[in-house]
Amino acid sequence: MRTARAGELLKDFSEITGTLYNPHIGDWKKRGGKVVGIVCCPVPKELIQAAGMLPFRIRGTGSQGTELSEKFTGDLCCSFPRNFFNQAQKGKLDFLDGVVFSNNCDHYRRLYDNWHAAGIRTPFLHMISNPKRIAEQARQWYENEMVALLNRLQEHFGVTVTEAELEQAIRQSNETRRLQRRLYELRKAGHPSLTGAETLAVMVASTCMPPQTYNQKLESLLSELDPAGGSHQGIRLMIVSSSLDNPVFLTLIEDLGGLIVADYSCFGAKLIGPDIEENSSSPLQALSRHYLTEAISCPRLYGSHPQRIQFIQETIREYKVEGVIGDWLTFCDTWNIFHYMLKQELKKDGIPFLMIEREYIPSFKGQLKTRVQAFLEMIRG
Amino acid sequence: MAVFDPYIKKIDEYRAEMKSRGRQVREFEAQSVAAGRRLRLDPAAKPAVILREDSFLELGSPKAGSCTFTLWTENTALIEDGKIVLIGPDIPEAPGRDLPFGQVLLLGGESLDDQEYDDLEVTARLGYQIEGYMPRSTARDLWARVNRKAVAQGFGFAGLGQALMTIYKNRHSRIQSMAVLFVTASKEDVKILDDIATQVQKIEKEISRKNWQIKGHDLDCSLDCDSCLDKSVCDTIREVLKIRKAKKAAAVGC
Amino acid sequence: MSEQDSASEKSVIEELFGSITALIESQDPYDRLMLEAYQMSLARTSRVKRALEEQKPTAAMGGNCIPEILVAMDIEPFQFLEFPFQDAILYGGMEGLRDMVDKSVEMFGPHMCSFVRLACYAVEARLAPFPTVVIGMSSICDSGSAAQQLVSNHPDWKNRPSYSIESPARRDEKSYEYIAFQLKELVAFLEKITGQKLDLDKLKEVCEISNEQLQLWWEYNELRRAIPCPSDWKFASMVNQMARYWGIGKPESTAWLKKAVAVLGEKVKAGKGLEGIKEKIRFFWFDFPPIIWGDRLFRSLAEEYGAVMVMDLYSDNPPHTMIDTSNEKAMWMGLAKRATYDFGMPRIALGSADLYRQDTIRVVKDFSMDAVIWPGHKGHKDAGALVNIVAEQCRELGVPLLNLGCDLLDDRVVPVGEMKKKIIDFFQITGLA
Repeated sequence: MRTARAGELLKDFSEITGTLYNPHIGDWKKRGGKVVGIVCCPVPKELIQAAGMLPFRIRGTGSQGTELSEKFTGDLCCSFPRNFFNQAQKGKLDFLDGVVFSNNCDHYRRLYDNWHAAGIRTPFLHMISNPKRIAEQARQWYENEMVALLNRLQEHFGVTVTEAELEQAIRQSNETRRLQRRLYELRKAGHPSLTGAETLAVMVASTCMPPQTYNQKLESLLSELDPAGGSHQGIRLMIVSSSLDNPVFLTLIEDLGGLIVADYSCFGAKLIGPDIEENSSSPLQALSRHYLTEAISCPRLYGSHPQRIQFIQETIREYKVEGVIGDWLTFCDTWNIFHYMLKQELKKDGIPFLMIEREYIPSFKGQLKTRVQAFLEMIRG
Repeated sequence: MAVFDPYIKKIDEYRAEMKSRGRQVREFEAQSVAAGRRLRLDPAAKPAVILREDSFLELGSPKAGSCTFTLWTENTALIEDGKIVLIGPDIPEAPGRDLPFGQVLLLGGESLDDQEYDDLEVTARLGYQIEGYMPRSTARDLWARVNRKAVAQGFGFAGLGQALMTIYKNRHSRIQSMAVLFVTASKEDVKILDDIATQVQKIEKEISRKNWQIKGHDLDCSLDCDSCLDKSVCDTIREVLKIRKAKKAAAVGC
Repeated sequence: MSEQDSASEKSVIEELFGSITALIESQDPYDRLMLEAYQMSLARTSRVKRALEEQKPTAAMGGNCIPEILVAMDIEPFQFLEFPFQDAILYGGMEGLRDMVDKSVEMFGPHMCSFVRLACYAVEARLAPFPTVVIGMSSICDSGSAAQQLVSNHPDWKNRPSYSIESPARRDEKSYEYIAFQLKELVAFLEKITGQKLDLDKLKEVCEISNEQLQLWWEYNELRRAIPCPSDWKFASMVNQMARYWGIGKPESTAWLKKAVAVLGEKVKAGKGLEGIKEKIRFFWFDFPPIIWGDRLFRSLAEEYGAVMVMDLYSDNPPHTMIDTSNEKAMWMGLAKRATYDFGMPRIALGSADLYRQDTIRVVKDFSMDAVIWPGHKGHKDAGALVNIVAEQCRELGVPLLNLGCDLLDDRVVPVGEMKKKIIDFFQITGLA
């Protein structure tokens, strides 16, 4: 049985995730704190933390449509950036004091070009050019990009970042990773103590609240959850997705008899990965090495596909996954091909795979339901 | 636009330096360009092609080296209206050659401001209105041809400078004074000018970015200001823009 | 090549580019040159196929980024999609190609760039020939990068040597140095795989030939400014092939380019435009020309309305600088620029919005354009979000822009008739027709 305190904490995480401007951001801003938005995984949040600011992973939560975005983006743009761009145009991201983009995909890159054009007056904008291949030369490039970002943050916000502060940010970030790893461990139980949707809410919360507060909250939650397991059961599924930040989508699957016990996704396991080296002689070198070669890699990174597949295969084994759902946002070519390749690999391993194409705002609930139902039935045999 | 004033000064220094190095420096007055050397201008003209075989010479090919930029200021005293300076050989003196080519346009006007820039960018592509002259369609620098017939009729830098002044003054009523510098002496001399051009283009890019921001578009300057060697230049322009904005606000307040 | 194959090739070319019989019979130097280019193209195809059969060093490229290096190393370059594409239409005609497109949609869905999707399908369907090495560019566009992942991890391909060049999302000296470093690394890799050494003097020689070819391309482009425009897009595409792809470093291509400039020059002097066309409207096609259905659209627009496609984005983007061969460092930096920010799609796709705007001003003014057509290819997601800025610039220049919407490969997405109607309506509404 779940304790009442665990239920409260999970509800709290869910509320934090269900909005863009959550009370923790409100408190942070009231105390004069700055909030800097980050677009995609390869923007090192530790740099922003070290500068005394709150990194906020940009989402489109609460978006009802993309009518304002389409004027700029045309109809070929992925719905994730289209929705958060829409939200930004509606002023829902006005609390951001800055946004750091990355050249992770064509869609993000061009939003950077259009951000001010749309009348969004974020005072600080920066683009980080992160490499698409693994090599020492690429790592050095990345490190220089980090130096550039750090310099701009210092200059624009009038702060000074010391090496000690960078170290502290890395330690804090590693602490989050360690706690999240413990959270994921709970999902290995035969009857896990929390659902996939609940886990996602906990994970998304880590991208939009002060790390110290988050760590304390997560620590409390972990102490309330029974490591031996809970009551949740269902067909054990793994979700493979990019910008999946809405627990409702997972609830939909779990209500049909699935149980998401593992993931490879940008708001999930990819946030964790291994620790960043602490007490390194060069924290920036450690950070660049982590994000380029040690973190769970992104499908955009050339040469890292075997590691990605290995991660997924190991996860399937460790979490006793019975089927994999590939969640794909229309127009994302990177993930489209990755899902295709993954399907071939899983076929060899005899793991059932279902690819779902969707828009950021879940609008095909009926169709989705039928496909998931059929998939679950197929697994049940 | 005080932001370009230091560069106008640099052009003066450059001219003096070239003189001290023994380069041939000639000066012309636009008003005194003889009727026979004045070039025919047609604002309604479409770009005409000058074939290689019909060319008297080429100016500023990638091999020879090229550089062009425009500076403008509110301080009209800095610009000697109508002055055309040529460093190096004139067009009729270089038949069949591929001359290096530097061109600096200096504009003065009390009400000239950064809003003018977008239109200046378009004006820079109107050299084809000058009969016998064909700026080639390249994405960078200035590479041009002059045809034989035009040179036989007196096409030279004095006429070219004067014609450019007419085009600019006709299209931009706020220009009160204009001077032109042409450099054809050597690739190295153009290269020195090009170093100034690199700085100037950064400022222009920043101005353009701001103009387009007002129109509602972000053109993206450098993605990384801190690794940019010219950051100080952009910082200066930002400061100047701030001061001007404050001045304007104060004036409105009066 | 058998007689049957030869006849079949002829009919495909006719379907794509118009009557080859008319070309053969024509005495017009322009037509003769076009015919010569087709013959050279076919000869080159045979040469590469032979190299593949005889397992001589070949390189399949994701973009034609570095032909100079390959030519200098005597490695035969070809495009990934080239042979499956040719074979499909050679043996199945247009229906063969459409069948291939349909199968690629079944595999990867309809939203991916149709060219890249077809290349992925060719690998999956085992239609693509195996080269000695695969060379890709991991940053031109998302679909291109993803396709590289697919190729380098496919069971048939993953043990084949491959190298991927990356260009950062900025352009400055540091970026060029980063790319130059990769190019040198690539050479070491090629030397190891093929056993063929790069002779720097040979590279210098090829770069110099390439520079000469580039100058001829620039010259050719200048001639297209003439009113009426003396060249059509098919001729332009041959110029591109000669100067930037399979003709690089080949003296016969330089000779062809020289003849092209001479023939076009004569046409300009005589004030001659396209045969049988009375040019009334000049337009800029702001993307690559659609090779499969371009002839049907552009020919009918020209014949019926005098509307001539004077310039396209690909033709307008020859490398913009020459490679400085005066010293080794400069040569590598020049190659780095040419491979990425200075040419074709990498220049545009990786470029900022400002680049699009500046190109708009230059092309509209220099080529006397009456209109700009933004094709809106379904695959070009990197550019999709920039149409607004280009439209604004066109408004300032007083030139109308049409955002068409099409698939540059598959004319079933938006049929040619529908596109034509949209364009004609646009010309009529704007008073051009």
